[in-house]
Amino acid sequence: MNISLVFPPFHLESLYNLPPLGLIRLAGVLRPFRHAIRILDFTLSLRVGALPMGKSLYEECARQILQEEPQVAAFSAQGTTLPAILQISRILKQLNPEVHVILGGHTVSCVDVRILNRYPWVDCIVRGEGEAVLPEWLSALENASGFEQVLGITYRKDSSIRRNQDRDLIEDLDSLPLPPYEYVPPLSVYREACGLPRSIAILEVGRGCPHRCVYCSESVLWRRKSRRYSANRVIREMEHLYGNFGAECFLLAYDQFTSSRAFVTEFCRSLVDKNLQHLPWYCISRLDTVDASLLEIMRQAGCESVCFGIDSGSEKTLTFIRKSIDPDLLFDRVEETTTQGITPTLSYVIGFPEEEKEDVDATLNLALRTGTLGSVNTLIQLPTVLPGTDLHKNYLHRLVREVDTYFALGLEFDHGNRLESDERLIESDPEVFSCFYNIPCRGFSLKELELLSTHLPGMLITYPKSFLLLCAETAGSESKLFFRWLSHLEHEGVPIGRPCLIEHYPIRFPDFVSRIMENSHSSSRPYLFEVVRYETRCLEAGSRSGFGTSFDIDLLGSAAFCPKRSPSCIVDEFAYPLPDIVAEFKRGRIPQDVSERRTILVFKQDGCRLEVMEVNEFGKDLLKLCNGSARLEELAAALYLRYGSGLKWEQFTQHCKDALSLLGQADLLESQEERTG
Amino acid sequence: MLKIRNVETKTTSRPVCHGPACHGPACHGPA
Repeated sequence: MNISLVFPPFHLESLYNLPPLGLIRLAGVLRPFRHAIRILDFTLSLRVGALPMGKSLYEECARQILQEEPQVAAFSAQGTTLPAILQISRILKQLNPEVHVILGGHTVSCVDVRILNRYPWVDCIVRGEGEAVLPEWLSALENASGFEQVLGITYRKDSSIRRNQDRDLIEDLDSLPLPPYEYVPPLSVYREACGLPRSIAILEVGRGCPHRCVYCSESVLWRRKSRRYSANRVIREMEHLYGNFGAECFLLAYDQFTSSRAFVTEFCRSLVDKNLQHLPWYCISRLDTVDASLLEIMRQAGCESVCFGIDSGSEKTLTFIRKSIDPDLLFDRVEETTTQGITPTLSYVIGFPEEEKEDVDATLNLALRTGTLGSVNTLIQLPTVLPGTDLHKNYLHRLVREVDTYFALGLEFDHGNRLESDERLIESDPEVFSCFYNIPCRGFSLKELELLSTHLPGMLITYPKSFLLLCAETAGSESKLFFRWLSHLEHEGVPIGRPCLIEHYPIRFPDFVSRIMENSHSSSRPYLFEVVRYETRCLEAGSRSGFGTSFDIDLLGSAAFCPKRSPSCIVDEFAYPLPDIVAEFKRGRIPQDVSERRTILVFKQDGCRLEVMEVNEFGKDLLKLCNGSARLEELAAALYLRYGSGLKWEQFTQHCKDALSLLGQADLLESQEERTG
Repeated sequence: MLKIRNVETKTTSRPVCHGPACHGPACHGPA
């Protein structure tokens, strides 16, 4: 049979796209049956300009599907793309009523009967694992033997809708074939289309989750069972993608990746044994299933980033979500992760229906405190209501349409807006298109929550320490202070739209702090302004970023060598002990009762890595003198009077040489190559 | 003579829309 496996159009410029793994897997199980299979990735087509944006997009998709005269069009559906799929398949059916339309994916698995009832051009829905169902369904279709025996489908028979029994989950995931990537364009095409530095491949490591979080459809669809591929099999797939398809890094998709320590250890050791640790990979984890030693093993095996779902800083909310993680683990884990050089992504959700202001503030506070740690990628999102979840079941009657969450974006095909026909469809059916809807929250309007989720991440990477201190100083809530900040920006003529506003922070935030403190009668934290200045310096160092200034100490032996301070480093003095203040933040605490102490700091950024160092008076003076025109002897002579008392000239010169060597190792001096090159 | 010590080291990155592996139809993890 002629079968078109279709990934619908979707476009968000800020995201990147990967080959449609679910469809590639289906191609793998269908291949032995000698069907003519092709995968149409309309998301990639949009990226490369092979499909036109605009009102005729869906007609064009249907036309392209029909070009190969398929008997079956099978769509991979997700909540966000479902409106596009229903429209394309409707047009498809109008153009050729003989084509069988079959849908699969989480969302449609959970609202199967309703979709067949309301959208008569859909013939069948696969609930759960398509790899097991599709070959049987196709065989029944080909032989006209009826679908009664095909477990795990909901389908149309005559004028009624039949829902066959659930199918058992695939017990041995290793029995599935390796995904045949030859059915999609090379990974390099995806990389270039999305402007990525490396070719990324997504790998499935397992399916399911035993937990019962109210917003999650993963555990519902996989019946709260968790299954994994073997470590060997995952590595075989990585080798296959690396060797045959040019994959340069891997996303390991599985919520429970670290749930078995034995699995992760075996996986990581095998990668190292096979000398594949140079291949970077990312995974999802939980705070309670990793520790420092496991993270070390993961890092050695190539792990670059780990995503942790933190969700909330409010105990009440965590109970509502049914998430049972000790939030005290958070700071330890983040430190352990960053110490290994692994970037943690921390995901928070604000605006669950029962949340009061203080619950959201507790989450914002936690996000800000983890933001002070640096090296953290923070996401703050509004809850998305996915079919099949308890949120969907319990709050369906309260859904409203006010703001687009992350899962509602990507169908803006009409000059940045959704097509009118999509809007009408979504509006007509909250139950099926629930991810385009919101649940009102007790504590905040949805617009307020959207502002917080859009713009607070900017504060987390610019002034998190200052913001927390200012919040403590004004005894206000995090959200209230943040809204004051947004009003301040608006007052200054900055439009508060969807784009990130961080370029305005270094210019306007210090002034905002001054204004707030002007109205404050007394200050119990006089070091607040110094912390603001500290964070401003960090941002300034970022804007002067240089790369790889490793310093060759042998050059110091050359009499003609004149050390020069790296232009990307900033030296500044502070009236308070910033190292102690930073250390307190690292422990997750807001610094209290800090006494004055003069501190000299050096800020230095290389690429995306910022380092702040404390130096003594001698270090400051030496750095100041390193202007590229004074030799070691001259530097020593200039400093001898102040710092050389009790030392012989030769001893002091040696001290200066050692000091320059240390500054060089700390990348604070320019290398000879940079200056001559 | 010279005293130098690390106060903090951090990687600076802009906020992204989603983590390393996501549940939507696209990704914006570290590339």
